[in-house]
Amino acid sequence: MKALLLVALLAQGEAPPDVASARELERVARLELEAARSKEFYFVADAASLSLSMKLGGVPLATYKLEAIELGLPLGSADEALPLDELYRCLAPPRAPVEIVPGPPPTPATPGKDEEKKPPVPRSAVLTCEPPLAVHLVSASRVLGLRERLRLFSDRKDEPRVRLVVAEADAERLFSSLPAKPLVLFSRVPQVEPESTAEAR
Amino acid sequence: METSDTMGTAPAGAPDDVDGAESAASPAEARPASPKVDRNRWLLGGVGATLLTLSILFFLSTRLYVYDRLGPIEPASASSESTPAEAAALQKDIKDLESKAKRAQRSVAGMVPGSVYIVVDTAQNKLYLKKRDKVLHEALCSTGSGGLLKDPSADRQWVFETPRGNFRVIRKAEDPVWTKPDWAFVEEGKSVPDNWSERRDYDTLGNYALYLGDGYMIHGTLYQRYLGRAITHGCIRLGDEDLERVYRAAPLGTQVLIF
Repeated sequence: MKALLLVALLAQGEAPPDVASARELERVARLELEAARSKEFYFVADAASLSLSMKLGGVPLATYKLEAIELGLPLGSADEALPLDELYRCLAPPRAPVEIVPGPPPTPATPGKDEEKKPPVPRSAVLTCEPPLAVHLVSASRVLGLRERLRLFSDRKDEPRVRLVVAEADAERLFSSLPAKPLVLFSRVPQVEPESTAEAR
Repeated sequence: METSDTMGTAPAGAPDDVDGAESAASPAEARPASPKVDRNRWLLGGVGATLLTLSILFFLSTRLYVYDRLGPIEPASASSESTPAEAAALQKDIKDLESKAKRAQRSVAGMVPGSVYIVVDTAQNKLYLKKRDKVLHEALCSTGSGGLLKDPSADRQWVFETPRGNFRVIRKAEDPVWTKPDWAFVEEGKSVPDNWSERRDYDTLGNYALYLGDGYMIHGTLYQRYLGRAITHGCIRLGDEDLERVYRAAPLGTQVLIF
C-alpha cells in the first residue's frame, strides 16, 4: 500500500511529502506574517538558499548572498542544538557619524575636489537579540583582528550565537543599510517568493 | 588551649615544613632543608601548577564556542513500519500544515501595496517607483550624508541621516519654497537670522516636493552631478526629469519605504 502511495507521488513528479519540511514551512510562514505585521524591518536568513532577505511590512527590499550560516553554542552547553524557531528582536550597534566642520560651502562644488565624506562602513556587526541570541554579521573577506577576537572572547554571556557570513559583493550594501532594530527569523526550507512580492531590481 | 601569640613561632616538636618556621630563624641558624621539605615543596608546587592549569582550562572552556553549519532540513525518509492508517494520518497533517503555511504566505503577499509605491535604497542611492513586484521607474538619487553638525554657539547638534522605515506622501507642492532651518546657517558658519523672510529659499528644492513629514521630503537639486552620492541633510534629492515623473505618478498617501 505504502509502496503504491510512493509510486503515485513520484508519478506526479513530487518528492515524497515530509512532515518536518511541512512543519518548518508553516513555522517560517507564521513567523514572517508576525514580522510583516510589525512596524520593524525584518531579515529572513534562509539556510536552504543561503540568502538574507530584508523586508518591511511584507515588502521585499533587498537580498544579500550568504556564504554560510553557522550556529555557535558555548562549549559545555547543555543544549545540543539551537532550535532557532523564534522571531528574534534585535538591536544593531549605532554608527559613528563623521563630524561636519561649519564653514562656507565650496561653490561651485567640484566633483573630485569636494570629496564625499561618508561615515565609515563597518565590515562586521553584532546584533544583540531577545530571546537571547547574538547574530554576528561578518563580511566573507573580513579577517577578525586580535582586538575583535578578544572582545568576542570577553563578551561571552552564555547566549547562543549565529554567524552569518555575507558574500563580499553584498557586504557594503548590507552594512550600509542595517536597520537599528531589526527582527530576524531563520528558515531551513526554500523560500517561495509569491509572484506579487518579487524584490526591487 | 592554643592562644593567638603562639601562632608566629614554631612550637617545640613541630614539624620542619611549617610555613614561616625557617624564615623566623636567623641566617646563622639556617640549616639545609631536609629531603622531606624539598619533596613537600615539589608536591605543593605541582598541585599549585595543576590547579592553575585546570583553572585556565576551565576559564577557557567557559569562553569558547563550538560552531556548526546550519543547512536545509533533510527530508525524512518514509518509515517502512507505518501502517496505511498512519500514512494517511501523516498525509493529513502535512496537508494541514501546508495549507496553514499558504494562508500565511498569502497574507504576507497581500501586504505588498497594489497601488504605486516608492522604495528608496540609501545604500545605493537609488529610488524605485513600483507597483506590486513591477519596477515602473528607477532613478539615481542622493540621500543623507550621515554627517554630524554641532552648533558651536549652543548646546545642540544634528545628524544628517535619511530616516528609514515606512512613510507616506503627506503633501505635494509645485515650485516649493524652502524655509531654511537653523542648521542651514550653522553649517555655513553664519548667524541664525531672527527674521523669517531671510530663511526663505526659492531655488534649492527644484520644481516639485513630496513631503514625508518631520521636514523630510523628496525634492530636486541644484547639484545634479552629485546624484548617486550620500550628501544630503536627510532629504531625498532627485534629478529634474525623475522628480517630475515621481511627482506625477505618486498621489497623496503614496507609501514610501526607505531602507
